[in-house]
Amino acid sequence: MENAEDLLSVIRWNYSLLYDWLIENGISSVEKDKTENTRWTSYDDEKYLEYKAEIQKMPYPENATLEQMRHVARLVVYGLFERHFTQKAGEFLLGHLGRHIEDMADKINQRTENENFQEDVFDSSSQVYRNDQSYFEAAARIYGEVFIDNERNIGGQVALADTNWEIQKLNTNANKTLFRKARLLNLSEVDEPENLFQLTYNNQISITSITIK
Amino acid sequence: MSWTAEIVINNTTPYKCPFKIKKGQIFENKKMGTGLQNVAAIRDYFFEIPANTKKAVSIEVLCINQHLRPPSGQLNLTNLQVTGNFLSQNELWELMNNNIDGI
Repeated sequence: MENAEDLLSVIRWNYSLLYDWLIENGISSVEKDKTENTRWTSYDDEKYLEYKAEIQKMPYPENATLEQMRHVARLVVYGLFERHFTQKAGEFLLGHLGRHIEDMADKINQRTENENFQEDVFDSSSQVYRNDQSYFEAAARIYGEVFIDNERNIGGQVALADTNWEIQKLNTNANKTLFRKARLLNLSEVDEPENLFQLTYNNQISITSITIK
Repeated sequence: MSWTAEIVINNTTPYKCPFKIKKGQIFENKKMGTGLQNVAAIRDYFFEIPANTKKAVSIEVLCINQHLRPPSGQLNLTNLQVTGNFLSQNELWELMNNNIDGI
């Protein structure tokens, strides 16, 4: 099972079994219990209405989002539908279907997090740059695509490379050197129209020098 | 402790030029690996440079790299800003050190 699309289609199939069973049997089985008052000890009327509302708002399997399917799975595993945990849809326990959906949804989310993380770093190879010189040689190459123009006194490259270096030095347990982009360094782009960087970058004014006094 | 950065700006146009330096805007060293701290504006600043005028403005800055040496020399202006709010040098360092996350 390699990609998120495959995982999602398996989740949808599992969800469709839950959905069909709950639509066909859910409310009627609860009403039967309620009438016979056999296991109806913890469900008051308010909870019953809540139960019905959850059943009625379950989306069709064809249209359900991952989060909607996960929500119903959670209700079966440890929520309002838990009373059906040991009932069967065909050969499958509803509780097991719910757990299976949760496990696969976790996998999809983990994969998405990894993909987002990959977008936040320039390079996540397993290489470790043990000393400062080798780090900055690599940084000059890797952060080389970030803008800098020393003659016009504008840039961005050095702040990223230096700040990343500081973090890397302090992460003594790191087993690889990451070259983080701005977001992972707690930095973001200035986006206001009248900011000095944009005006300078667009040659509307020029900066002669910036000096620490 | 804050530092002062003096920015000399040249407006060669026939129009006055208002501009903003946002709180947290980053100024960087001209070369990577100097071991000197990069800095961030301590608050929002608004200036206006008259037409055909060269003018120096001064702003207060704080250091962003706690473990590096104090800032010194010439800087570049960047299009980067610190994400999040800070009220003091220690708060800014704390904000930046949140990145020491083990990844």
